Amino acid sequence: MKVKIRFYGALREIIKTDSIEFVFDKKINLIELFEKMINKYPQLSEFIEIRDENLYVRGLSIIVNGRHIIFLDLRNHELQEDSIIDILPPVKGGYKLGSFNSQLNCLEKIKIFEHINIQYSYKSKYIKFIERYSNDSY
Amino acid sequence: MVNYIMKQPKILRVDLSNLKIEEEEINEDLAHRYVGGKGLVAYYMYKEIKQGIDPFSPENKIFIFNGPLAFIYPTFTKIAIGSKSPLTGTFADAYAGGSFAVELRRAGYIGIIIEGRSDQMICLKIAKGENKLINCENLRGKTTYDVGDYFTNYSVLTIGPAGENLVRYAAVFIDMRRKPVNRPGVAGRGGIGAVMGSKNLKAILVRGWMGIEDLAPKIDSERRSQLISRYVEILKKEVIPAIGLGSNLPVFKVAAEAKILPVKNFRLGIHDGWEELTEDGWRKAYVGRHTCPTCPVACGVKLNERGYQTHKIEYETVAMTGSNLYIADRAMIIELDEILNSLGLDTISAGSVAAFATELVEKGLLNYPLKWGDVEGYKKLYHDIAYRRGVGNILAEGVAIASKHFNAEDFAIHIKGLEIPAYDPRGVIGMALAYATADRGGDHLRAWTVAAELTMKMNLEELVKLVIHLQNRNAALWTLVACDNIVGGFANPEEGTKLYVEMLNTLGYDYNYESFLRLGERIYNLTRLINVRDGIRRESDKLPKRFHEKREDTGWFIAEKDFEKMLDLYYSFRKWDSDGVPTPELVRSLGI
Repeated sequence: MKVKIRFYGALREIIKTDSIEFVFDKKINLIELFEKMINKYPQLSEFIEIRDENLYVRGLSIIVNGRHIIFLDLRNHELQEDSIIDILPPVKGGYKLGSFNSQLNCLEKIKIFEHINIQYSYKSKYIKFIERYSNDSY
Repeated sequence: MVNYIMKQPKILRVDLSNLKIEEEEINEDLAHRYVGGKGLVAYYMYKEIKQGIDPFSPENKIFIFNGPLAFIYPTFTKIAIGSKSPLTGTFADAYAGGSFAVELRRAGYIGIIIEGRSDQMICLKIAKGENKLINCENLRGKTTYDVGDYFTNYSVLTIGPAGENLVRYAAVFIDMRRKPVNRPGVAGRGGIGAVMGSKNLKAILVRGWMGIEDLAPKIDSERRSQLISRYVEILKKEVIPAIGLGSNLPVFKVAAEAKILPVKNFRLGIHDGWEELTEDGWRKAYVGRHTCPTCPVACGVKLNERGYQTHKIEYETVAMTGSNLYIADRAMIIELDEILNSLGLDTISAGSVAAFATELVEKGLLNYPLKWGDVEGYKKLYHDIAYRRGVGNILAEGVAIASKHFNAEDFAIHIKGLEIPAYDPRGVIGMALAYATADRGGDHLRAWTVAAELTMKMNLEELVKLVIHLQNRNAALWTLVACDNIVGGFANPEEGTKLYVEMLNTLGYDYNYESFLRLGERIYNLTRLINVRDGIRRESDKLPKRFHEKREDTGWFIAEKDFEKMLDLYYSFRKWDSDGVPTPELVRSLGI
């Protein structure tokens, strides 16, 4: 029985491919499929974990033949021939997967408030106040 | 009960029918139970808007509230604006940055309530010693930019021609200027700009004058400094790296790679040329940043591509008026964005309506010069909508009403009348429930369920509890009024929320994390009661038909039985009955 798994976004960089295929000689359930996937691609364990026959994911969406996995019985849902599993990454701006306290290349230096061209009477006081707490640039 | 360690904030009540302006105080019990922002919007709307009124009638009101933390702590620059929506006929609240919330706070007010209707086009001016209504007939027909440039020394909240012409998704704009002095803001959703138009209220101008010493003379300064110090560290280490280029533009690439972009009215999830609309693409057009007053994050981005400039754009606009219409040219997206900003239209709804109209043309149901990717066609369409010309007069009603005219309800992508924003829920299932149960209609901000930092058991009960937790938490945060761009960047949102609670308590409030979440639950149930009063029941908490159909490119779909199962769990955890009505016991326990 053939099962295809398609990866999206940053997951492709992690797995180094956009899809993989498994061939099984018997029917399998979803828990068994994910166990096999994590064994073959241990880097997936940062985002998918199986504990006590439950699936734990970090921000991922997993779609099985068009239907979200959350509606399926992981043990009893039987995968059919030529099933397709889509694994989508978390949708969150600015963060790269696997490093949510990332050291992303961030912005050029921002001079706080100096580009605001308005006569707020508190502007200069606020700049000094923020600068006091922002000793280093970011 | 609030034991005020700050000047007691007041409300300005403005009667446009009788041209009266009066000040009101908020009693301490009310202030503590609802705090500010969304809380007070919901409270006053429940109390003062009768069931079944026409949103365009003088009986409708507009509730504009900042929060107690505005100006006293950095970054609380959003204003909450609420009314009965002309799109949905139910509760609507929208949020905008810019200077208005801070200036209103510095004028000593936590809110403004607008009621009645003026015979002539009018503006409300709030400044030291001069709260007054001024004749603004000379501004009739003017764009949002014209009005911002006309009143140079004020924070300006205004509508454009679309609002004057009662386009049901006309928005409210703050600080729009051709050379902006700070990041502008847009309260886009729900058509509150049209409610302003129905009252002949063109603009509200504010110039505050108070400082911390006036607003919070007894605050513990050392404690305040400590909290700000902790907060700025979080902003530097967590939030600002998350902002990336700014304006949520980094989200585009992730949404594209996940194939959950809205494309051709949600028929597809990706399109040719999408790479040009990622953060790297927009970086080529980047010319600078700007920020809301008192906020060091500077999430606003200024762009110039081939001479087309904008100071107000973000992911939703790019996706809904770019991707959705099969436009991948950055300059053209900027040009269309500027047209929508200038006319005063919500870009999410306008993009959805434009996609709907294009599909009508494609299917031979509408005779109009329009096709996918047709920039000139969309320019004409947006003007026709704003000025209610020809078919624009029908499309100005929003997709829900317009689709009935064309017998095309099957591809009107809305929930309760509010057009859905730029994430396909067939790929992000939590958003399906979030959209369907959002109190203002199809909305993504009440509960954003897909987060990189969350490790979650892949279990329906856990997902439903997450949606409820986020709705409650965000309702509480919007009393302050916290900025979603900042909260979305917290590495640990619970710790960030706790920090905000500590800030609130320095002003005399008495909350902890649990009671703060309970405040959010109270507010979310109150807005549900407002909606129930206007006829919202289970049959309204549903997805558009298209989302139950297999998507053309991926085959993703949401089975109706799966959605109903999710909704049953939601009602059960919320302690609502099977029709989606909060139970009397729950209402009593929340102190509503």
